Amino acid sequence: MNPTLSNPNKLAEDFISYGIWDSAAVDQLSSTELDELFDHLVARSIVETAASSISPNPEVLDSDAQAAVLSLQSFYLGALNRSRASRPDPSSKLPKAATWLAIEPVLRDRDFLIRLAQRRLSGLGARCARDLADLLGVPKQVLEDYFAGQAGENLAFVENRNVGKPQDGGVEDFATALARSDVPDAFKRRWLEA
Amino acid sequence: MDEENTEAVELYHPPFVVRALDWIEGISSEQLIAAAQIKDQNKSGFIPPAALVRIIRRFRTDGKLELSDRLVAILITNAYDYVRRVSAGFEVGDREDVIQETMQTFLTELAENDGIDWWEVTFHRELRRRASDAYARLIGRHRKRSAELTDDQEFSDDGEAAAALQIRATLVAFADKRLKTEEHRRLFLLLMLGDLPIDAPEAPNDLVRLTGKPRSTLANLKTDFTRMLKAALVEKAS
Repeated sequence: MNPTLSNPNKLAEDFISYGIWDSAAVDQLSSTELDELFDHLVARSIVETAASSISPNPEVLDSDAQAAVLSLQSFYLGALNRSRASRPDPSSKLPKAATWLAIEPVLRDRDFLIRLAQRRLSGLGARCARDLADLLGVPKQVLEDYFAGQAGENLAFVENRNVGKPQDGGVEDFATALARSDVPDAFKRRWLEA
Repeated sequence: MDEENTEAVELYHPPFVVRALDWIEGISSEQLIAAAQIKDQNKSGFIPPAALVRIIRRFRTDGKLELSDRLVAILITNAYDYVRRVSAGFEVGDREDVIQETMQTFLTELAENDGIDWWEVTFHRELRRRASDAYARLIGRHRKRSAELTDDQEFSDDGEAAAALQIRATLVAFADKRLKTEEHRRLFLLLMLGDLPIDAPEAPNDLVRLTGKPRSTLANLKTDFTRMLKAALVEKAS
């Protein structure tokens, strides 16, 4: 059975988000999957209905609720420790091209990303650095260090190996590169400010 | 989450999150804590929870763990309050399950991911989705439990419960049909179906104290009712 066709949760979401009811696909579902489909629909409608009628004002938490919040805080710290233990050092993530390609769906321009990764851009904006650090989930300092590079190989000193290409030192102005790229307008506007 | 991530094409911060993130660049950490505690979204300085998620992750990756943890405490309190209000109408046992499961999913995703995800775009919508996922799993668990019961031979009582139900239904039908006043019907059910004795001064309660009628009246009624039942049985048998 095709997993994308018969995923009951996806069928339910399609109905909720777009009003699409694929009866052919629903016919294919087993009885367990049908249960799952209807559970999903029922639960979504119950929660959304409940949420639409709640009071807009936050409530003061009683002592039971405060105890629950405290236990949730320690749950978070536990989850954080577990995920930190299995995580590599952030600075080791960056030099890999794959790291940059992971954010391609957001920036929608592989060529621009490759130029970023090769550090052949000058005048990278602070906003851009901040956003990229957020997207990649690394500290801003690590990203800045990465762009500054080792002594002798930072932006201004990138070697231009292609002799036939324009003699611009292999470095392109960030603003020009961004303007030419397919990066979403939201980013272009934000990064060219200031 | 994986399913959503593959569909996501434009997962960057919406303008209201960008504005909040720009605004906090210029303020001190004490001011930031104070701003994060503002709950009224119409007040100036209010930080949307979506932006707070990003701020927490930023401080965390930048190594400012103490500040990050203080902000997490505020975010958890607000998110908990929201989920609790959404599930206020649920049955008590279900409510706690839904709240716990929703919050734990949220906190795991908050802890494990450093990059931008949907929590930084549509925070409350994500909470509601996690809550409805938790609720759907709960319905599934309830269903599974009831399905298991029918297979379980240990729960058989050789039809005792069913027989008791049938006797009760027959007597109620009899009372409805043969007794004229509401008071007699009530007394009939108490005398013939109830567990209480007519008169027992030692016991915590009895029918004399419950109904306020003298012992002799109740005893006579019980005899009458028994006679009526016997007559009805003879009538049916003949």
